[in-house]
Amino acid sequence: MAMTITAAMITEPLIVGEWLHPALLLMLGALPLAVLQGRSRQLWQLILPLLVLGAVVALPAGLTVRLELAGLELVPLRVDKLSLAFAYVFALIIFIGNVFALQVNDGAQHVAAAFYAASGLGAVFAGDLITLYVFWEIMMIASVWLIWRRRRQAAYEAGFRYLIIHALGGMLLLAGIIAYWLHTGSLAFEALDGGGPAFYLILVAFLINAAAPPLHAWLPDAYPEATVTGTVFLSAFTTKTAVYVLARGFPGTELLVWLGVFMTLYGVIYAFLVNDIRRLLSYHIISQVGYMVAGVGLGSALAISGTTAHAFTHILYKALLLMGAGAVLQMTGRSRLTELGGLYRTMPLTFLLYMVGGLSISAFPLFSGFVSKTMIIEAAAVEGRGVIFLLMTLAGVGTFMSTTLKLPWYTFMGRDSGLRPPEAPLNMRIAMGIAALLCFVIGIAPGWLYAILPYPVEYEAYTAGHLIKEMQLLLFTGLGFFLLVGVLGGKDKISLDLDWFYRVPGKRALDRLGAGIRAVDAAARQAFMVRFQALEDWATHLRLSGWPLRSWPTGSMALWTAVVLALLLVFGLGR
Amino acid sequence: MKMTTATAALIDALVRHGRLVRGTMIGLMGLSVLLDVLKPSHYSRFPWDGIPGFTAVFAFLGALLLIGVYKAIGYGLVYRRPDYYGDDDHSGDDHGASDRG
Repeated sequence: MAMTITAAMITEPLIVGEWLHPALLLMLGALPLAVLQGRSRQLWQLILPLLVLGAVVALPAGLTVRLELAGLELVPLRVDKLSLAFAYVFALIIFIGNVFALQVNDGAQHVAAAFYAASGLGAVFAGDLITLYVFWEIMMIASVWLIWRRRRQAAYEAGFRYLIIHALGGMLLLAGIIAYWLHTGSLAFEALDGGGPAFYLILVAFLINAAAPPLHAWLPDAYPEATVTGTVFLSAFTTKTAVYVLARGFPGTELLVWLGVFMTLYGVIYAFLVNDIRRLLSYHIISQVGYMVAGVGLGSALAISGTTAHAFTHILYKALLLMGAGAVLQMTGRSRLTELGGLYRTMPLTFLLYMVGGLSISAFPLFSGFVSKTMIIEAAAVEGRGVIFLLMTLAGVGTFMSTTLKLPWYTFMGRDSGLRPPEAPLNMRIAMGIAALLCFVIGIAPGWLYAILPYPVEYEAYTAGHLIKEMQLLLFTGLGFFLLVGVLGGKDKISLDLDWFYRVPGKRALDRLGAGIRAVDAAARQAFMVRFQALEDWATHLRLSGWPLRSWPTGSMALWTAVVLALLLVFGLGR
Repeated sequence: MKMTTATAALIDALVRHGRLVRGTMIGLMGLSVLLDVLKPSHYSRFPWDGIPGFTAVFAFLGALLLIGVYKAIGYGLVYRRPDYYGDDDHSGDDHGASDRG
């Protein structure tokens, strides 16, 4: 096996530390978490993410590490501004997620979270499709444990459905990669040319992980069933890795513009319909990823930078929102809107920190979403896409109503449920505090975020026009909400989504297929046994008749011997 | 603990002064539309860019539309009883199992 390592666009000589793969560091570093206990485990849970953050920050843009394996040229590490922007926020959320999970005494969950996060990092640094595929699959296998470690039947079943859908996505990706290699002879992961089976196979595989309808139901099915801390990690990596690979492989694909806009509204409508607060927030992941998918579809420098910026801010505020909802679940044991209410009395800090996430996702001025989401909408406006602009704005109305008004109103304010849970543990509040601080800092000083985006940005979020329009949007949405607040509470129902097709008729069809196969199998066995019995009867009859043991005539024996010798001669078997 | 109590007291004060909060919000709504009338639009990319208060009307009607659509989809198509899939532990009293060893 030949191994060569080269660095492109690097002027200084390489030392090992400069290209230490952060994913490898995190995977190896996570192994002790399986055995460490108590304070030592907690200490390592803080140190390891900081080391990974340091390793990511140390990577210079332009670094490319090549590796030749079995005749294939692999690029396990390709560092540029696009991959770095995603890696920075991944590294940040690994740290925040671990602070949030410090009190969890479950080594398997910590190792799974670390492997999952590491594979997310590996995927965004992958410069070839094989490396991408390997990390893609590790991501699936590691992440399902964050669901299963909830250790109850609903989580177990949701985890299996999650696994099956992602396994299907993985197979499509592999088939697409093989088709791409056969067609182009290349495995480099760059923008894919339009058309052809490889293009669509890889696109569909990426869209499954982006939770794009109709391939989205795994997300709101599985994420609310994960552990309190697991959901925080889950919200960050799978869908955002998908956004990254779409931005890398499919910029400017028109289909994605409309699909993304559909996602923004689909997620918003379904978020209204559900009763479980973590499921509500899960639907908003679909909605927010919709903005990013649409941004990728628009494909301009402003749109791709806006997509990257929004992925960055989304990971932080969505984690904050899910940490707030998770804190409620952990402290009350409940997550249904119909069972909650009035929690601000004893969980006011969780409420306030949640609201920072709510204001951020709603693009409230001074908070992070305002400086990122508006970039994507602005990119649509610059291209004169009026319908896209209006539909995205409409989705923003729904986001503000359900995430920032409905959920907190019926959880922390509104009707008093009589629940008086204590505040979440200190480490959970600190984790929420760090995420909230970052949401606020990005909101008031977006310059440093804009500086790490893949393309130079000449976008000014804080213009008088933007501020006036955004204030109108939010205030009048609030007016609509509070006029109808009496009828907007959660319903003690579930809302069917497209997973119904494989959970009810699909399962029924599978059961019928199984019954059919069993029936055919039984009939075939019976038919065989009948014939076997007949053969046995005939053999017994033959034996009892004594016919095979009778004396054969000499002429007959000579004839058969001659026939055998002739056959040997004809077919040359005697040579 | 002190911080928790102080924050709860602050939110309590806002709840007690709900009328003042509502008044402030209505005042801000009026102000945002007034500013839109006074300040000519910076953009002329879309036909609605020059209409003062367009975003306010769009947001209000959009909110009502979304509420109507979700109610129609919910009651007309997708709402089912909580044990529809044969279990009813999608929420439950389990504290998320995050602190179990």
